[in-house]
Amino acid sequence: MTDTAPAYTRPVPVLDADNAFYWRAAAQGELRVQSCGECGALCHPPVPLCPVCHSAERETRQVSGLGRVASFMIVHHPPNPWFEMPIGVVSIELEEGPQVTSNIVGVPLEEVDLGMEVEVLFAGTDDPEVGVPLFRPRGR
Amino acid sequence: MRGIAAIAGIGQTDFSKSSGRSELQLAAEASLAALADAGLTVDDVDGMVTFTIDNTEDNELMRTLGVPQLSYTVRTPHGGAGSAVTVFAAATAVATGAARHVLVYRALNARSGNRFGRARDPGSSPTKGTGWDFANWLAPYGALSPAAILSMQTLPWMRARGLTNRDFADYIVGIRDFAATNPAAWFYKRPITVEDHQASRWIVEPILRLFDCCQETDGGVALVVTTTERARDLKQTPAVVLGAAQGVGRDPGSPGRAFAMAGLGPQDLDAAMIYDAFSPHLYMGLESLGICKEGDAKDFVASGAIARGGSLPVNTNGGLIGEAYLHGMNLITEAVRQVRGTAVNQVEDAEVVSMSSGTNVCILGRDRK
Repeated sequence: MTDTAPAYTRPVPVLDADNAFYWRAAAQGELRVQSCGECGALCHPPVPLCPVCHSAERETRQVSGLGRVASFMIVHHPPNPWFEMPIGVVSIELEEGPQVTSNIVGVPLEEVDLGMEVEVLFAGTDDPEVGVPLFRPRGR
Repeated sequence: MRGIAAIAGIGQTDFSKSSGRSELQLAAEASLAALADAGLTVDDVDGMVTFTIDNTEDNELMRTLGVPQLSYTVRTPHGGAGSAVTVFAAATAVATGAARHVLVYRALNARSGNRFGRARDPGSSPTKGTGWDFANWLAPYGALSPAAILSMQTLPWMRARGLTNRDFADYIVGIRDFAATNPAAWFYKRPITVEDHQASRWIVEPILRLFDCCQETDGGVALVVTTTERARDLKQTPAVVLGAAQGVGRDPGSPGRAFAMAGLGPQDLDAAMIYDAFSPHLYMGLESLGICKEGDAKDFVASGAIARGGSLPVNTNGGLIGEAYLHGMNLITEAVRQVRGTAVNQVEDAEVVSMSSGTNVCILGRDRK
């Protein structure tokens, strides 16, 4: 780490009115996805209106935290002050349907592949009210 | 709009890693070069087009050049994907009479200034309005550079086509060969082999190696767009805008609209300039333009069809990977040179040349009056 490295361990997500619930729920140990209060459709990333029925009745649904690796990559370069390189970055297709981006942990990166079944866990950030969902292979 | 507008002038600065001057100066130098190329003066300019994310304001460029007034000025969205849209927007303006001579410019110190390929701190680099807002969902997970952000969904796409990073070497060796004979290219006189490509380090495994990535470049590029009728009286052979279309969305149909406007199909192209920030984009472009059927780009590239002497040479200046990363605009100038017959890697009798960035397309050709 350099002298200029920030105190936090990973970039704190930039919160706005639409996405804040996602990161705040992670700080509480919950994986939540936007759901429509009218038609029940799930939507991620969240948006102000339900894209299916245009209802503004937004709710959030706690989902199972189970899914599979829909896409992944191992980021080697450029280095950055927040992570040890390389970094395993994944897109997870949740059992409930939506895809979320995350890191895969608890497994050597060379063993990760598309379709791997995973489960959620959570990590904190420098802001105690903001957390991040992570994923690891299921049952390890 | 078919054939109504034309690119009458092109200009560029040197492409370097340290320009030693401001982006405004680069924009001004490229603009004056494009106007001189066309045989026009600053008094003729009444329209401007650049990218939403270009740091040079139109009114500052006006003040620098002494352009008296504008009747049309717009910016194109989505970063480099908007490069082909600059021609679409400028052509629309001159075709409708909103402007007579539109100056298109893009200038950046992407190496010596705000480095493009770096890992961005999302807390201090706001993404709202840049076309990159989705990247906030990747930043907390360490995907902080364009190479990583744009690779997130690439692996399933590669697997569906049987593409591996080794296949990308077939493309890269070809454009490095073009760059090797282009004095303006960063990789001038530096061709590589498949083995060199495969020996370059991983940037995003198993998708991109170092040699799959575009440059970080300091420089400026400008175009002058006017009506074909006016362009006939100017200094250069007009590069006529035969077709142009913008498309946003998963499958927006824009290549088909551009070809329909031109009354042509992919089989009519003599050369193609395809936005190649990273190797996979070239393959995506070949398929979305209809040059290849879905899944066929791998074998098409491997056959040598898009390399020097092939049936459809692509990115004959070396592309954004081999020449410079002027955010797609240096592919437009190359398309113009091919139509004029003045490219360093000239395709014999090139009459119809496409330039595309993502799903945005323009098709340039010789004047057929």
